[in-house]
Amino acid sequence: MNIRTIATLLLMMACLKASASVGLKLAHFDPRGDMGQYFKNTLSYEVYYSRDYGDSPFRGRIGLFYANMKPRLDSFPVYDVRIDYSTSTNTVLPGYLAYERYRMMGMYIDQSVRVFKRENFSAYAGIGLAVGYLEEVYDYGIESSIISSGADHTYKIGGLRTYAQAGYMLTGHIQLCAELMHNWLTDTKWSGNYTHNTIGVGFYYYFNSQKYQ
Amino acid sequence: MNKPLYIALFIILLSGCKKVEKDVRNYYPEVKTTSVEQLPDGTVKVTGEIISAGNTEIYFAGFCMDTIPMPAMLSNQKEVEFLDGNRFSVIYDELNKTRKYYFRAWAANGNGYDIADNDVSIDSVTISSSIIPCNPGLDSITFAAGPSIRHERYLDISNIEQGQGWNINMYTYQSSSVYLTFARRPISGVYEIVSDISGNTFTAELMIDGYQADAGAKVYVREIDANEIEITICDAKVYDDLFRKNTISTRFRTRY
Repeated sequence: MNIRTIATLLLMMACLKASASVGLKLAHFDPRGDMGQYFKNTLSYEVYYSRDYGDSPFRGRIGLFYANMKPRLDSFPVYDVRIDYSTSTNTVLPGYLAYERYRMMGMYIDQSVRVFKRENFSAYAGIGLAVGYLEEVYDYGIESSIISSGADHTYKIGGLRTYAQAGYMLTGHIQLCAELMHNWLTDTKWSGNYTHNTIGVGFYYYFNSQKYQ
Repeated sequence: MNKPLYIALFIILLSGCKKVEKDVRNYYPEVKTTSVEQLPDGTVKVTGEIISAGNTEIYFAGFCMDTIPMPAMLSNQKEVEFLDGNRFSVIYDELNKTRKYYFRAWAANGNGYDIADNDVSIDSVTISSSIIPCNPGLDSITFAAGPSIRHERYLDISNIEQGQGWNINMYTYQSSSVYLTFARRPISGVYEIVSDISGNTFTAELMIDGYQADAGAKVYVREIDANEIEITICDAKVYDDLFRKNTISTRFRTRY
């Protein structure tokens, strides 16, 4: 299923619902957890389909996310230890770790509740699930060791996301929003901690005007 | 789900953040090489300092050594057994007087390692005469026990040759024979007389008139120049030519 197919499906779903919307978010991506040591802050991108439930304060959302991270150093100083059991001595073997590519992508579904509304302003708190892939390509080497260098891995990742969102109805169709989000993701192989925070701005485009709702 | 539950979940997840260091160098240790000093026994004590441990504890620390500046981490690497606060030291032995040696500190924590930007160096490494507890005359041997103290002088001293060990043969004018064998090529340092040198690097065997000396005495080796060494042995327990218990002290010079 490619992006165009998904977008077509989202549009079809949107047309069926009176309070449906699609949107786009651009966010400052702040890697934390196991990623924080290695990667710079970057930009992340989201596209989503959202649906309100009439007078209910709840709003559901399904979307896609993508982030491409750049390493904080060209090469990280790593090491390995060779133990000589006959003399009970260690030799610390210097090495390096150099990332060439590190990307995170996937889809999410979340649910938010409106906790505040006054005229065109509203605020939401939300929680959701995210699943996807983490792709990493790196070069790794240890001096005087048989450890081979270089790897290209793709991990399945998944986890929770929580967020707070402030929205402003610019017109009957367009709501601008600012969103503060915390993501806790892990992978299925190493149970790594891919926690990250995002602070983003975006918009919702409602297919039907929300002026009188 | 109700609103309080949402808010509680939000707070719980936010609280799971792991601290990210603003400066990536803060993840790694920072270390410097502080000093080097020659000890009286001809060994060298090198000291380093952990300027910063990084954001985990220090797992390993030590030094590397070479005869060229800024030695690489795997060159004659030695690991320290413990840290004394932020300082750490190791002893290097088996150093040659005629060479200059460079030392550089390193440390590793849970994230990675750091090797010091600076090195320290030392040359003319030899043992101090102050640690030699006796002062026999050069090229002499003294039998100290028995009814009378006997001094003899060497008539012939061979060069050091490698056979089954590094051997020196000496004969006195009175025909006493001294046979000294080192387990390794002798350079500045303190060696111990043992009954079997095999596998013991800093040891030597001593034979007087065909009888093996008891283990325990020290052999002090000082390098005079690139090819000449001076050897002093103090109060080694031996049997003399009449198979009497005796002790000898001797000093002589020989060449490679």
